[in-house]
Amino acid sequence: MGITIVNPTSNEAAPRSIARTTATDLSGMTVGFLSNSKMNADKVLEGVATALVERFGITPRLYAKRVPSIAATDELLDQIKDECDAAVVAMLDCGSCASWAVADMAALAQRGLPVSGMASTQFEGFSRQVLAIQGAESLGLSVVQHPVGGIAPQEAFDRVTPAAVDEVVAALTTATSQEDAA
Amino acid sequence: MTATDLIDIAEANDEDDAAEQLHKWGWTDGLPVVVPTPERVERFLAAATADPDASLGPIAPRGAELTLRGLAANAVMAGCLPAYMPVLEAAVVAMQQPDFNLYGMQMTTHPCALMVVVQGPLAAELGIASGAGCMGSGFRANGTIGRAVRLVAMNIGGARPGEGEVAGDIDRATQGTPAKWSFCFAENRADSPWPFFAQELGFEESDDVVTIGAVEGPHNINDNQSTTGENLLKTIAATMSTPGANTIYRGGDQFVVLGPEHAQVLHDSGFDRRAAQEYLFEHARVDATRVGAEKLEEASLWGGYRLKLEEWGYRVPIARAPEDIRLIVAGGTGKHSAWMPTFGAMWSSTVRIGDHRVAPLNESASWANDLESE
Repeated sequence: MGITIVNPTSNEAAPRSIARTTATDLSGMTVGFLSNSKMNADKVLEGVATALVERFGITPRLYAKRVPSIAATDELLDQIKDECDAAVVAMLDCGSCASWAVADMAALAQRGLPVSGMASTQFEGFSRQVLAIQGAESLGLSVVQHPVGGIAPQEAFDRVTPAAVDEVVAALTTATSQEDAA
Repeated sequence: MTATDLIDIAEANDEDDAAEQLHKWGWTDGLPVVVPTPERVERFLAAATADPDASLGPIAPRGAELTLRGLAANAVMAGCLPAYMPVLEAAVVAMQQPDFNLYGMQMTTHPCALMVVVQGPLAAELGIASGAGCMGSGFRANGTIGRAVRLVAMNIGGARPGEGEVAGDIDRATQGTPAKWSFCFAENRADSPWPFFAQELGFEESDDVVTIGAVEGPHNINDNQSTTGENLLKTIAATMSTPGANTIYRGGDQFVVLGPEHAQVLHDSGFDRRAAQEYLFEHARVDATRVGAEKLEEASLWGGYRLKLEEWGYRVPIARAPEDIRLIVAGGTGKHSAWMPTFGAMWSSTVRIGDHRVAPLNESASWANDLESE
């Protein structure tokens, strides 16, 4: 017989699409590192920055927002856009902080910057879902072992393995075939 | 009604089958639901203030449009009566205000629930309990209104509890709270010695309004002994002086719901709402020397504490301003009150039923992003 119901969900969200920008080469670039002030976010960014300085001779610039669970201000995002050629955002290691860090990534990408996010293993899948909600699923993440908070700063620094740095580089530079075609 | 609003559950032989299918699809909160048939939904639409095809805005995080029809379907499922619709319409408008931070609160690891406080003559007409046991089970309106709002957050907002590995399981609450099932009560105006909560926000006594906050479940404050307002406030302030609440380092507002007997003690001692808020702000402090170095380091970075600690004598205030400690009267006989700290990165929102006029934020409301550089 069948039963007809009124749909209590809404499957269609307003379509959003944020284009990904990539750099051809990081050599000599100025890279902005945006910390959301989660514990050890600065140490993870320091680990990435140290590696990128060694590999590409980048100039790192550190930025921070003080409340992880709200958006970075437009002023701060504009400043990063004005002063940098690419950006790395950390730390995507809890619910509200990762969701707003993803929103910050999308906002930086919308400003035309190549961008990578630093996620902990336990928040990778979540962050990818939220990237998709933002229409920014093409943006790349680099993943380090969870947890990043509640550990010694040096341990957080050391969680940035060469493979994690490779993921940052790929997020900032590797164009997909579709993007190549464009 | 368009075809996309309707779903034909072909394999269902009866409503029991249909309800089971709703559970399987992950569209319930786990409790039994009333099947949202078109006939039932139509009765709810007829009782609403908005047009049936009206949009009530995109619900974060997914950002899908909430139609009045979608709201009605969830209200049916929750077990509401059609007459509750105007309350629900105002509640979903309230939770979309930008400083409410629905996007963040839906996905946080913090255990915050959507607390709905209904105020005005309509509350009693609808049977929304404001007296004995009003925050607990036993009242249809309280139970189903809070539940419907939560279902909207899950089904339209698209955030169900989980670890982020399955599509839609992006409510990352580490433990959650029983208050996420439902949390709704009415202000006890008959027993309030003070002007009503909404009057403080610029509404008229005759207005019906809804306040919504993203709060922890209620934390009891027992004081059967104090005969003076000051002694009672000492107990309340000491209970609120805890380093584990989000509000202490993130700001935002928080709620103390006074049982009427407690409110009367304060009133009889000459405390109006503002004086009580100021007392709590001055005396509800957390001794920073009792907080471990790592937590203090991060919390002080977020709250800009480092530059203030000496000025504060290492006693950290639990709110940014007295007015962020919201005082409402509810409950029945007895010497108990409740404290609900919020998610912190949010301000509660109050909306008038009918025209959806939004109360302004506190004048002191601001985010602490720049304190460190002061």
